[in-house]
Amino acid sequence: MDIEVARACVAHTAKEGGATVIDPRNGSDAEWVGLIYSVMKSIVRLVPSTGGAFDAVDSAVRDASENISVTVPTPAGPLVILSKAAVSDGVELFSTGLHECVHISQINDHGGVQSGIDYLCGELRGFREAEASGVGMWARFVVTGRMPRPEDASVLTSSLYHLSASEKSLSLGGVRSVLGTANMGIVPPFRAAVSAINWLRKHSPESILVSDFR
Amino acid sequence: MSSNETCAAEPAKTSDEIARQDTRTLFGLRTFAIGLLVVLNSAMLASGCPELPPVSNCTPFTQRCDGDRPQVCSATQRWHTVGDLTCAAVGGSCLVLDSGIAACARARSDASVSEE
Repeated sequence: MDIEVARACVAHTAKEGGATVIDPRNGSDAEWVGLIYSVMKSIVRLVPSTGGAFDAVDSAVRDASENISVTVPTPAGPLVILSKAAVSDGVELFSTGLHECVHISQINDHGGVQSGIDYLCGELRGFREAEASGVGMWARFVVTGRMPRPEDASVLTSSLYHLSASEKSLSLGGVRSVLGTANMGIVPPFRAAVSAINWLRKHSPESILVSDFR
Repeated sequence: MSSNETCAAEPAKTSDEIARQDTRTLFGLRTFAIGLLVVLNSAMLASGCPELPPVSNCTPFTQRCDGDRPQVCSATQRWHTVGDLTCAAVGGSCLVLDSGIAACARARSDASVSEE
């Protein structure tokens, strides 16, 4: 998938949710990313800790800007901050971008503050990440033709989410449901998925490698 | 006096001045970070608890269809709905597959359903 097609499709889908996407490859956006991570590091510095512990956290924050994309609620609407890894190629950008677009819908449906509170609860965090992971995996399937395994969902394989075994089981159920729908040749029942596939059908039908979704 | 001359006339910043500027930047970032934490904490205290679905005594990790939407039961026996649209909105209908997974499947005609 061409990276410019992925970028335009993700931007369109995010915009429908009233969100702004920050792309680290864009010069002015990169400055914003730097500022945001500086604030994060300042927050970390407020926590009493030894120098060694801070170095570890500082390193984690630096790694985050390389590998971890996030969507955060702001008074001006959700803000998607893509990692450098997410914009490395078109498939990665499309998959990660749609994952984050599901979070945009979740923030819009539940409100920014409530979404933040909900994210502190493992059960809700696990399920909402499962929905986002499932749609991200469906997106990858659409543009590669290769159906991923539910067990490979980021919500299950990453230690980032700090989920218990039972929360991971719930997450796996959520991912299986989304991919079960995809296996039926049906677009998963998410506004972000519908918006993205409609955009692709209109502007870049050749990017859709699974005939069921053309 | 041209702008070049103005620039040339500006004395180079000493290491003390650079250090003071860095301190001011760090102070600004810390102030913003503290403000952000205060706002977030206040909002959380004002808003309350996580919005978990009600406990419904479902069997953990089973799936079902409810209102044309797939649902998954959590370990705490709450039904979590998958997606933000009904299956009809994506051209399907909710169905629990033989594998026990609830998903959106191609809608069957009433005739084929009644024959079963």
